[in-house]
Amino acid sequence: MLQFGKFIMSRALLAALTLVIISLVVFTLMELVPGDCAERYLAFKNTQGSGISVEDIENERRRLGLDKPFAQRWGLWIVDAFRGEFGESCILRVDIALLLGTKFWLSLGICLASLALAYLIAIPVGIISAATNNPYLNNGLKLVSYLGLAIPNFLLALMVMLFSTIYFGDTLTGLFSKEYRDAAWDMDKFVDLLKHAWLPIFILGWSATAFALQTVRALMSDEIGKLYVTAAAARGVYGRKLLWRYPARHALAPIVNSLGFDLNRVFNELPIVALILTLTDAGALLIEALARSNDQQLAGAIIFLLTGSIVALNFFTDVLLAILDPRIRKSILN
Amino acid sequence: MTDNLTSIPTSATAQDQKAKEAYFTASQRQLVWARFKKQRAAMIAAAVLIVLIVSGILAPFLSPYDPTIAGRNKDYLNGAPNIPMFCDKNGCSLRPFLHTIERERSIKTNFRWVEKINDDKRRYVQFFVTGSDYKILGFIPGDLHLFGIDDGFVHLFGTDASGKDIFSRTLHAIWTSLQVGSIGVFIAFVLALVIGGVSGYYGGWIDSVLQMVTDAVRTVPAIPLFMAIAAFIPQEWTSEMRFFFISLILGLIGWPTLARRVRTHLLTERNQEYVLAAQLSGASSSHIIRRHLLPSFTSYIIVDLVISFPYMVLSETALSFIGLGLKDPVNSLGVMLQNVTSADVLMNYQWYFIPVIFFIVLVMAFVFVGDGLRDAADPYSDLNN
Amino acid sequence: MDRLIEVKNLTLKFRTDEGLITAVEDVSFSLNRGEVMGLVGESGSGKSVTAKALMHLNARNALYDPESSIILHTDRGPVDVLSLRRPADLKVVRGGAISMIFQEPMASFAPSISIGKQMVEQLQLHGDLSKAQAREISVEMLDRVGISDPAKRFDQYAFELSGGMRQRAMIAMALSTKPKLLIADEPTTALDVTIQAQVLDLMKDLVDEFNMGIIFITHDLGVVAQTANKVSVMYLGRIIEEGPVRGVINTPMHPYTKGLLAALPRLDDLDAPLTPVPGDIPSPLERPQGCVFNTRCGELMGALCSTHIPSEEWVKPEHRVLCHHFNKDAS
Repeated sequence: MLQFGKFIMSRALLAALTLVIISLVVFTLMELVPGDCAERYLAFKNTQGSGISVEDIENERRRLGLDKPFAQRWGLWIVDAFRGEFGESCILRVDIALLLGTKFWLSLGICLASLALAYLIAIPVGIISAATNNPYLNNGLKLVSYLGLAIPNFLLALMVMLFSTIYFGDTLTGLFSKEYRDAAWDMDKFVDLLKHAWLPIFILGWSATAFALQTVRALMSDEIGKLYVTAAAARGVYGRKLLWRYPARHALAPIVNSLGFDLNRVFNELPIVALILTLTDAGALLIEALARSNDQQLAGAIIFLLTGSIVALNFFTDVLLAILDPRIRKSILN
Repeated sequence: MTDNLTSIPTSATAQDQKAKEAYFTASQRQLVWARFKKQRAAMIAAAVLIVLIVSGILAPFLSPYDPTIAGRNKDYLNGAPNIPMFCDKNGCSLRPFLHTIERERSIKTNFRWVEKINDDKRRYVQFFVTGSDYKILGFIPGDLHLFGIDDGFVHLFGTDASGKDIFSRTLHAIWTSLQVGSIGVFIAFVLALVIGGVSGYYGGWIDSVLQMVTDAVRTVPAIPLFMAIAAFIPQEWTSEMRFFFISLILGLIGWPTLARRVRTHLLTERNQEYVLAAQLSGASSSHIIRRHLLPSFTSYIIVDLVISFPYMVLSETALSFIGLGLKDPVNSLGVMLQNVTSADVLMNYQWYFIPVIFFIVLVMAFVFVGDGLRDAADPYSDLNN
Repeated sequence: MDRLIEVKNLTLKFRTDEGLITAVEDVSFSLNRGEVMGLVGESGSGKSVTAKALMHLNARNALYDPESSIILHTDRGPVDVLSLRRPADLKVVRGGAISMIFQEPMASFAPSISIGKQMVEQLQLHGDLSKAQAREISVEMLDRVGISDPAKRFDQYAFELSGGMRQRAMIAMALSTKPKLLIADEPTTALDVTIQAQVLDLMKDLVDEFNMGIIFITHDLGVVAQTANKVSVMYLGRIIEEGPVRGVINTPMHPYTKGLLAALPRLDDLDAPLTPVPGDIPSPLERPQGCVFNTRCGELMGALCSTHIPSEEWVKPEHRVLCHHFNKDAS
């Protein structure tokens, strides 16, 4: 047990270290952007009519602590970030954590849901297709995979929009109906969310499913060809037990491994889909903040949060694999 | 010793022998090409790809009009596609033609422009007409266009909100997307070779450190990062600068996956026995790298490059679509799709989506060619016995 | 009942993209209880395919000729193996009356399931045993094959055991259901020589104890000489010679058998050059006409060998050979 605890600790440390490196990259990029927070804020105020002077900018800089050396500012930023605090948005002067709040969790929820959908479909279908070797099923799957690869999510979203506008004269946009948009969270609001969220989950899941199908099928094909499956058949094991207990169980390990990478992919697809389906005018997604705000504090925080989710997922899958796969488990315990 | 086969004419055996010899003495490139040729889907995709690339290069020649504001048709905004026909109620003709659209405005129409089709007045499509000036590949000047029309404009794919011909824009857009993709892939490739190469060849702590960095960069989701960076590009930059900047960013974000492949491959290969044998025979490091290690994974690298191309194109399209990528007058698919989400367009101007088909075909072509190359290059794949 | 299994006219072709490939042609043999038969041949001779056919275990694209017949004599009467199609029906044969052990013991155990679980699964599949009973029998079996600390090994995984132990565990698992016939597909090829000797000794003991029949597939004539009672030599899907092991080794009849024996290095003359059988086994797509061995034979009888298939001849009471040299009515 103790060794297992040590393993978890070491993985957690690794995750933390990765986050630190990423924070450095993100922070550096934030710094490289021309015009710092103070200038931006005051430029913004300028467009609103109040005049500013160089001295105002200097004062603002000192107030924000922007005159301290790079390393110190980075240190402070990373420590705060780990606590979940990202300071204030440059332009809006609102606490970022407050601003992002539910938006981040909603986005994460939608992405994870689409991944879950993808695997819920891909695992049974992929396994059965590899096992039966039915030519129709195989070709059908190939077609679906290629379609999923060739039609990127945002195009699919566009086509769905086109379709629904022509035939329904209505657009299926937004994450919430008007009544619930700013309401407090309760069961009804959640149900409303589900009613609207199925579309982005479906669209995001589209290419994730195609990808997952191919992967599951290839892995299963590989495993089925291995000697231990023949040996099990030679022992009299047959039917579903032969399929699930032997090749399927072993094919799933690499899939668990790849979950972090899958989440990365979905995060990549989320912004565009969100924009097309105008999920943002419900103010529900953080991607709008990223694209429109022109605010590097906010941008940095968002990137860090997204990457942090992936790192966290990788950590969990590492631990999960260690529990499930006896090879890893035993090598840890020794 | 007996012959291998009984009662078979000698000429066929001689042919067999020649074929076998050719197989055993073929260079790696010839082998891969021979295996690639056998896959029908990949060959078709390759042909399609070549057609698209050539259309892209020759876009200025193939398109009737200048795709920028300069070549727009002021009188035909958001116009539906004009498909030339061969026959109408007045008989048929060998040369395709269009009817003339006349606009009139008068008190009767409340002074609004009303369009009427005059189906007695034909405008014939002309081939090899002289039109606007252009430079192919940026330096070959010309002004000849493949086709045009007697009088007025011919818009095969219709026009957009400012009257620009969508057909011309599509062809130019393909070329732009290909360019951006190539530059991005090239940058990613160079970076991956250097970083992955150093990491894989030296191993040890250099490898560990570089690996951590590579993994960290790889974890950051590319598009949100793009969006963050692109949002900060100063407005003052010219479209050319934007163009190169976007390509640069694409490359900078794309290197980790490729670098990992290079590094893994080098790590396993440099411990192989054939490397040891070469070293024992007195070969120098550079010789080993050049003649032994590099060829062993050139094919994988090429396949990776081809496969990563569509992702570059997709990323650029996505970025431009949300307005953070390329902008007018630089023309790419993403730029063309910028206005597509308004309900107006969706309901009335569906031809805006025609470039999407080209785009899907381009991406699928790359995917098929990449898959075909991968199967052809892998000596252990099922196709190659 | 002494007779264990009878194979008659087994012909097996595989459907592939390149056409029908003949893997086994007109193979017949039989085995009694307590008998060990060595099945010898190069890779590509069809030995594994024949063995798998005994359990109807070949891939789905395998095509059996209608005259092929495999009859297994169990306690409950004869079983026509090739007529059984559903895996549920074949359970009687697979892992029940016939068990098979493979060349690569690491690869034949599922990597992430403990050895004990796999053994218990097999036992419960072939009888009404509770988990506790099955566990007891398994541990006993592990002990019987010479594995130390069997109770601990029961819960371990294949990757935790050494090569020799893994092979013993595989034998234990195969024998736990008390099969009548054990098929061993190159069980010692992957082991080093000392372990090989131990495993062979173990197998001989078990044959005596359980009165099993064993079909021992190998390409190693030395192993056959040590363990088998009779030997069948296969080439390109045909049995070209079969007889008592001493008989075949001392007086080989078929040119191929002679070639195999001559190819063995001689300990008494270390300077003598090695004389392998010349040529290579033809690709299954280029099956020779006439006698299957005619392309590499050094004792050809003219055009006859490449045009006519020889018929089987019993040269001695239990020694048969497939060669024109022994066909009295050579035309």
